[in-house]
Amino acid sequence: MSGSEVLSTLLVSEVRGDILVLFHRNPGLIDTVDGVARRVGRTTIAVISDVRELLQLGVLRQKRIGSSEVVYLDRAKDRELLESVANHLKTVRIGGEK
Amino acid sequence: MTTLGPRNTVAVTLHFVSSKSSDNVPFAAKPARSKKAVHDAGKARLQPVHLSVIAPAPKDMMVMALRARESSSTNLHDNPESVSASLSPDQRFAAEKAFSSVLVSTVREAVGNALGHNVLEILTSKGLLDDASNSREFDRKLQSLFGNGAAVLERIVVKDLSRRLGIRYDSEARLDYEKSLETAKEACFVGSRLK
Repeated sequence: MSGSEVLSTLLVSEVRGDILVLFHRNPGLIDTVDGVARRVGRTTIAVISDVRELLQLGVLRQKRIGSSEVVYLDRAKDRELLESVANHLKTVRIGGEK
Repeated sequence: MTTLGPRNTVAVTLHFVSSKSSDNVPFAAKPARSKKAVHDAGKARLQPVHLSVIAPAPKDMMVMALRARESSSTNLHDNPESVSASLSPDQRFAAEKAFSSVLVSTVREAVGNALGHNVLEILTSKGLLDDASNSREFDRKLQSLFGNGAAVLERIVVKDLSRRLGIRYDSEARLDYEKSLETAKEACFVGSRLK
């Protein structure tokens, strides 16, 4: 996946932006999807598809703790993806020209 | 002791304590008094007094709250020139400088938190934050860099800015970035006028 595609996947919706901000502000956060939804002030239904997309992208990972499925930030993958975004943005000139 | 009675009546009962009482500590610090204490108060010729106040119905309270909110938001949105016009040139300059500083730090924080600090440094070196208080220019730069993602970043910025300035943010409403910044700037101006 190119940096441009990663960027458009990360910033596809406000909810996804909020989840990203939440995990970047709290990189050690481990919580259920319900908990994540509450933390960004939304319902579980409103965040579930964005959490799934971020799991698929690899920014978030999922594991079971006791009887709960929890999600957390995969810091290495997140760094790698943001690096590709940074490399992409290096080639873009403000104003639209490459 | 304050109890909510039927039909929105607030009944306030004050128990007087005899000056002869050995445990005569301030009223507020005492827990609810027993029947014995009330009886003792009666002995000292001081009777409990019952005050009743008619409280507004919940419906009326909601109307009052809505009116207060409308009034404050009307002041902010419908009369944008009045606040800045009432400031002296020095106050206005200081308020604009303060707003610009808050905005730049909010944009830095928002972009940094969403996309990481490497991306933020690249964008800063490309001049994204030069003249960040010019909302139209900033919007154009974001559009050229992020396309549709610009709207998401703008929402994150406006949400953070609203939180910092204590302005209500409605995530359901359609975002007008320029208008939101105007509102935030007015809030800053109101703050500086109050100072």
